Amino acid sequence: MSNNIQPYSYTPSSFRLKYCCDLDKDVLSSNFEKRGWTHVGQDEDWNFYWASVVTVKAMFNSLESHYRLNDYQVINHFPNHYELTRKDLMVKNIKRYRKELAKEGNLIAERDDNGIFKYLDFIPVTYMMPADYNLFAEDFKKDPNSTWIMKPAAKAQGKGIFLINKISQIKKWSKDKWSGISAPLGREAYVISKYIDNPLLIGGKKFDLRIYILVTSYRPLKCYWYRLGFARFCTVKYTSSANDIDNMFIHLTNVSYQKQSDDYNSVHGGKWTIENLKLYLESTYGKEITDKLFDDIAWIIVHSLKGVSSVIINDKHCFECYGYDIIIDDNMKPWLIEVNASPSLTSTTSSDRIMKFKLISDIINIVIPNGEIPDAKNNNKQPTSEALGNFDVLYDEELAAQELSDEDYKKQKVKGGIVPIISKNIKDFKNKQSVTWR
Amino acid sequence: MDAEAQYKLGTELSEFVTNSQAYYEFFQNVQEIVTTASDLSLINMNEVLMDKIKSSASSRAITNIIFYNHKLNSIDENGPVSTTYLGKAQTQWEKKLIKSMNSICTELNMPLAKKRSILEGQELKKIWNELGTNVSDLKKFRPIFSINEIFDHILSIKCNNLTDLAFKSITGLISVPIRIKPFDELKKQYEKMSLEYFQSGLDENLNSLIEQEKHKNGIKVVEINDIIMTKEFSKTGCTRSLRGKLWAQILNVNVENLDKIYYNYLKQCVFDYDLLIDSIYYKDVKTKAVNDDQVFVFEDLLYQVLLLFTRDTHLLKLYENKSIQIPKAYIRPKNGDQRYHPVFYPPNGFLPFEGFTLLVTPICYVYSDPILLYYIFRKFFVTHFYKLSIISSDPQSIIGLCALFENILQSKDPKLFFHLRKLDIQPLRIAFKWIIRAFSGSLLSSQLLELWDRILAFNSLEILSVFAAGVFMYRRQNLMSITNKSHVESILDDLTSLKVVAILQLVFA
Repeated sequence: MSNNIQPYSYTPSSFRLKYCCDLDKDVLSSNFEKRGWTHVGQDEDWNFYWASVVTVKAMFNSLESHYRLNDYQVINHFPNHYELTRKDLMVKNIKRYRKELAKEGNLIAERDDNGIFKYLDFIPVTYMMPADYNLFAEDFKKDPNSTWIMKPAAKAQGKGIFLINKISQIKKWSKDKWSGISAPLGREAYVISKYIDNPLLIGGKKFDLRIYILVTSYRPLKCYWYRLGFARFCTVKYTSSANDIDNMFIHLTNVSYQKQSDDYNSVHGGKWTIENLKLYLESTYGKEITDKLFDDIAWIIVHSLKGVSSVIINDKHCFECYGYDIIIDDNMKPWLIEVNASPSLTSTTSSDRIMKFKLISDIINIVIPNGEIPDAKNNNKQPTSEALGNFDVLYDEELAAQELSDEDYKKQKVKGGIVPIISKNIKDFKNKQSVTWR
Repeated sequence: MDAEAQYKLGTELSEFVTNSQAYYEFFQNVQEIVTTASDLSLINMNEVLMDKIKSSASSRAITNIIFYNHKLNSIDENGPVSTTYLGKAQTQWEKKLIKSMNSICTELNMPLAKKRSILEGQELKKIWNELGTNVSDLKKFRPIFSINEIFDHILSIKCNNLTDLAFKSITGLISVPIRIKPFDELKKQYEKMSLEYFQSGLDENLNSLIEQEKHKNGIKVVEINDIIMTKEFSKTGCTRSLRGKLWAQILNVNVENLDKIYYNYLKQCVFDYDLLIDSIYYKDVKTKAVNDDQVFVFEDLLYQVLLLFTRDTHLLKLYENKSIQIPKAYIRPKNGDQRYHPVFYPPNGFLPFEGFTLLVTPICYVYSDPILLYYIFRKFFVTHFYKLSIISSDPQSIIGLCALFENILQSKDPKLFFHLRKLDIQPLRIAFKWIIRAFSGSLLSSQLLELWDRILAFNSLEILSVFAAGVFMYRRQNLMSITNKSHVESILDDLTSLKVVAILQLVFA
């Protein structure tokens, strides 16, 4: 950092926000340019930093450069976001969260007769590899016809993923991977999850949902749901037969993976808007089922965030936009697959570009209210409904507490720990919520 | 209608009814009543039976059949002017299509149809749910006719009875004297589109209470299953989750066992025969639907519908008693017979235009069951969509719709119309591609379904012309400010932000 920092003196007309950006993405730079912001380097006095996770890691976690952010600075990741966005840690945190709730005697952590959580069973059964190998093997023996999916805990975009349906496959793989000389620098962590082998199909094709969630604070929790999410479709028809287990195009919906397929369509990239998905589901399955599905998804997201809120360093300078990946099974039950800390900002198609441009624009409008210099000391203002843009308030702990009378709040606390959701601009969203958010 | 025609219609209808499964169920129902009713005696038999029958669901099913089929049979060709020249124009058009089909055949050096080997048929059966992967090189195939071709043909039609002076169209492009409903009559017919009525889908959040009320009523309407009531209800829009049921009732589609058998028979026909026209449909799906971000997910369903459709000889009935000739091909049987025998080609007698696929895609949003989807589409086609590519004096045929569009725009907003004409812009040239595809591919899916609700509820394609005129009126301000012909495209190219109901209300206000 430069030594002679000039004291800030600005008038709204002459002042230009300074930004720094690690990623060379059009949807980012065009947003900064539109606002007339000035580009500065990492070492300079930026106000807004769109950083890569690598930068953030170096900034917050390395011992030698103990970075202190000033009040006028905001950055797009929480220091230890990986508690949520690393596959193994997310699972660990959710398991811990359930345990804690159960200990408190919280009704949300109730189990049914089979020992399955009634309300918090939203991640497929998952084990850490190689640590939980024995637990996994035991589970596998109980249901030898099941299929499992192996994923590197820290990689994204479908890299290093494969399916197994025989225990011998994993034995062979672990021998090659972890015990040979080819295993340098310790073991790479993997997670193995039960594969959702009954996904909901549309037009015979498998898909997953990508939903963008903005978090501006963990304690109290403030999160926002971006309306323009999409469903990603596989290019190849879904079959669960064992012969096709090697054809990853069937199973993986990541666009970066599907792009390698011959059938990839560059006009829409296999992406269908959530709006169209809703229209289809409401028409073919009815409104009630569709509404319940989206309520359940909101439920999953809020609880996954609550699950990590006690361990995340709630730095006032941070905000973060997550890409939630969700799969729906043919019983209309949504499953949380993973959470991405830096969802792709590469635009695959022109409508994709428009959608992502709006995403960034709406994020900036929320975290930099009125385009003014951020103020970390005093940033708990509620965004105005215009500033929300395509975001809806998914959950705001503060508002939730305000809206209920003290007595009701206490009751809710006892019952669930989470008070009914607030959404200021979508009226029916709120109505729905209070029903399911017991 | 004279007495003889009435009698004929009556016998036809009663024959149709007695052959239906609904009649069989009705008959059983009556027998049941006779055997179970305790208050029945020889004296009051008539009254008691009539009373019970009237209130039964099975008799309503028969009323629905009669109502639906009675309406269906009438293509209205009794315009005020002698229409032989339109018949001639249709014949010329048919010849053109056959010529086009033949030249595709010779260019590609492929037969119109060939029998598949058993093995080939089995292979196809295996991939029935992923026909999209079955496609070889489609580059060489082209549509039988483009939208511009039929448009040019329509413009070329002249009525010889009229001198140029008498019907010199100073304004629009359609120079055929065809009966057009006066706007007042139209307004009366579409009274339910006026601002006095609540329309569903206009703003779901704002009116959520009324919307819920409407939904509740809709559930009752579906339960009662009376075609007239269902239509009245749907005039103000079908709520999303009831749309499938309401549409099926209006179109009188019930998939019964016989229909399932027939569906499987048609499927078998696909496995048995390879038709040249299949590839033309394949290409249409690939170019029109697979690249469309709203409907690409339905690719495989579309092949299933279209391949069956082209083989469905049930559709031939549609052309009976009408001045339409069904295209024929000639085959020589293998049994040594040297003579050529005429067969209809394609088997359903229909040659599709470029983008025909788009008339199927919206229905995929409403039905996930492929059999129901097929029968709904087929009914849609025989009730409405076949009129989009025939030349006839029926006000709902494509010429009538074009003339209606020009008429509405001219009378509702003459300033705008003349402004565009001054810049040498013909509004119909832009609206034609919307109308012939019933706006599919131009609007957001949810909005398109709103529009199609009204086609079914008001039982007419006229709403397409009304809406097309409304689009111009809605974008009036932008259109009035242009000074150059080329700017018009940028204003009317993207219709995805339009709200159908609001625009229809604008026109009828």
